[in-house]
Amino acid sequence: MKEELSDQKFNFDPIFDSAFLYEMYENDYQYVEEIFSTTSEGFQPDFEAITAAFTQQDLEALKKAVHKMKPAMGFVGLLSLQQQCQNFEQECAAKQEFKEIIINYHTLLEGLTTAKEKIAAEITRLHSFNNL
Amino acid sequence: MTCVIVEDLQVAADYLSRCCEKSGELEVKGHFTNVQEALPYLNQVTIDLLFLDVEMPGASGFELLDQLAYHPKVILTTSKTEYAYNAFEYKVTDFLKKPFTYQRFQEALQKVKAAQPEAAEGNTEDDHIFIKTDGKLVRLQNNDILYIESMGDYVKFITAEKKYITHNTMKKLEEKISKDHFLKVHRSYIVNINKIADIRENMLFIKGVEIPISKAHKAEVLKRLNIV
Repeated sequence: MKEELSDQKFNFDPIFDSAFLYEMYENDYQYVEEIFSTTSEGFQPDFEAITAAFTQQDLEALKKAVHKMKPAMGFVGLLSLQQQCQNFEQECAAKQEFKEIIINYHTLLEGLTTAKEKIAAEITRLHSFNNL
Repeated sequence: MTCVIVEDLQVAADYLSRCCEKSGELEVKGHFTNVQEALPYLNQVTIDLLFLDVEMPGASGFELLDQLAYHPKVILTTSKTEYAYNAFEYKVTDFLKKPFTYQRFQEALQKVKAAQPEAAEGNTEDDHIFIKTDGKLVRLQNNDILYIESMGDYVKFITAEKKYITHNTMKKLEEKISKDHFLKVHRSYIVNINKIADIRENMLFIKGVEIPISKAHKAEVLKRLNIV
């Protein structure tokens, strides 16, 4: 990974599991910025796949789309949201009727929308931190 | 060791590549985002280790393993622990739940390395079979068998030195022999892939012996050959 690691600790937004992020990437914040940026770039198509599957009321496609989003949230330390994706995915697999997942879908969508904004904000903060 | 990453999530593939690079022991030969793209490459190039996601667009990681002409070491990378049973069934070396730490990655790599010498020494259960013939059990190394021919309720094993006849059926045999070494080319013939000298039309030749390839098996035969 990065040859010269930062001595300073970056303070992540509380929404991110900082202990997990420190464990995953140590203090290689250049790389953390890269991970957040890659996640951010892949976010929109994956998010759209989720909303499209919901619009089409296709439970199987919805399950698959959420399955792909799930680990991406994990890599940026959004572990609660990752778990929420996992629960929703299982719910999609278990439910027979589309209407049964609607409430939890909206809750998940809200969480993902917030995540998108927070990830973008964190990239900006990390970029500033890395270029001090 | 050489490896390939089959993973549809970009951030996971990047992280994995970085772990490989950091280890100093793995050369990443390629990254594919789905089975359809990975399979032709993997059937042309032999690699030591495959990092494989399970759920991807199109075919699953397990379907890729079903279609591979050989068995590299496999580390599954997935976010679902439900696949643990399948992982065991497919004899994968380890199972990394995404996201995983570098330390966990190293543990998986150690398992792969620990499994390597065994294969190199040829001591795996897949490198030989025992057949019952003439009232005794005879060990035959896979590499020594040229082909196997069905004779009704009996099966004939042909090696360069000798022929052995044993009471068995092709169906039962197919389940027990190494899929890495052998390929059924006809309802009455299973051949050692490494011993095929040439193929002409619907015939293949091993040590000058002509063996028919049935229409039903021809596609699979061509798929398994290292055609350039």
